[in-house]
Amino acid sequence: MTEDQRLVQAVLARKAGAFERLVREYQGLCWHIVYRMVRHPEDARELCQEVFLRVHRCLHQYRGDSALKSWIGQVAYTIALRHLQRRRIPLVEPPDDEDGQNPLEQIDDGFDLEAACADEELNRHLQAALESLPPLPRTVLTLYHLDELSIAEIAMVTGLASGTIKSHLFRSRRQLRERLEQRIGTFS
Amino acid sequence: MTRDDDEWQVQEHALQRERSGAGPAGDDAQVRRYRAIARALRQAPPDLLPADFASRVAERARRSDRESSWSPRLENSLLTVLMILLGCGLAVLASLQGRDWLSAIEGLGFIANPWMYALLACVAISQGIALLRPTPRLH
Repeated sequence: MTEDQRLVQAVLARKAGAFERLVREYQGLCWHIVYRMVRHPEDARELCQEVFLRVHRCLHQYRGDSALKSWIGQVAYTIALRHLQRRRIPLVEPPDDEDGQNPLEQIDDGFDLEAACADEELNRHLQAALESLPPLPRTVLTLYHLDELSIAEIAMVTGLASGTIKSHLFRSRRQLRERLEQRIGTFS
Repeated sequence: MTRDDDEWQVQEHALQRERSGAGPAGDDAQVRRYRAIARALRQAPPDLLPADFASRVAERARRSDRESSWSPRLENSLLTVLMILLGCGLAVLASLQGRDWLSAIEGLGFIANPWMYALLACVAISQGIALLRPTPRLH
């Protein structure tokens, strides 16, 4: 029996502290998905709570066919997705600002080339570029790079085909590189 | 292999180099750029969940468990009490008004009509047959 299955059984048997342990174990992943999708901290906190209450209600449906983190990730993604759909926020196209400009074009015009050589400065610009990506590519990048989920696991979480995930990864990483090169020149 | 395939390979190579913590020696310019991107992407978003998030959620789940198990029990108890009250009320009413009801029914000629007994017999026979018939099993 895997560690996941043991934890699930303990939660289903209503053992003291088991569900709290499950939440603590997966709250990071849940936060990454929900926050990257919705970006609004208050909403993200509410949605994370909703995710775990849903997990608690539906855990008996978990069959152990996939890793528990993929299953919980799927619940988190679905809840965040519904939230965005209710608010009519596009998943893939970057939302234009009021003046119609793409936010990627607006990353700090007062960029200091010399300072950009420093890692910290570079990182700040990359973070800004990442934030300006649409919700879906932003989330896919985070799951792949930060949470180290495989492409198959991300496909399970999002319900998208592996090819689509690869395409999102490739295009967004290239986009990040191009945007930074436009701003700061090559930082090799 | 297309240019896109090559660039995908560079992206993945840069990610692996970054994960393994390898030094920059031997990396070409494009790998270094993608390593910087991989480094930035490995940075977690600000964690704005409260420190006691897990215990709070667990407490809410426990409360909802209690409520959901309490609710049907309460409903069943209330239903039983109501049925007993209804039965008692009917019994009291029948003891007070029973004779009047009986004479009213007799006044309609309902009980004296022999066809009424025939109808009751038919209903009883059909119900009896239905009860005796074996229930079909689902396969």
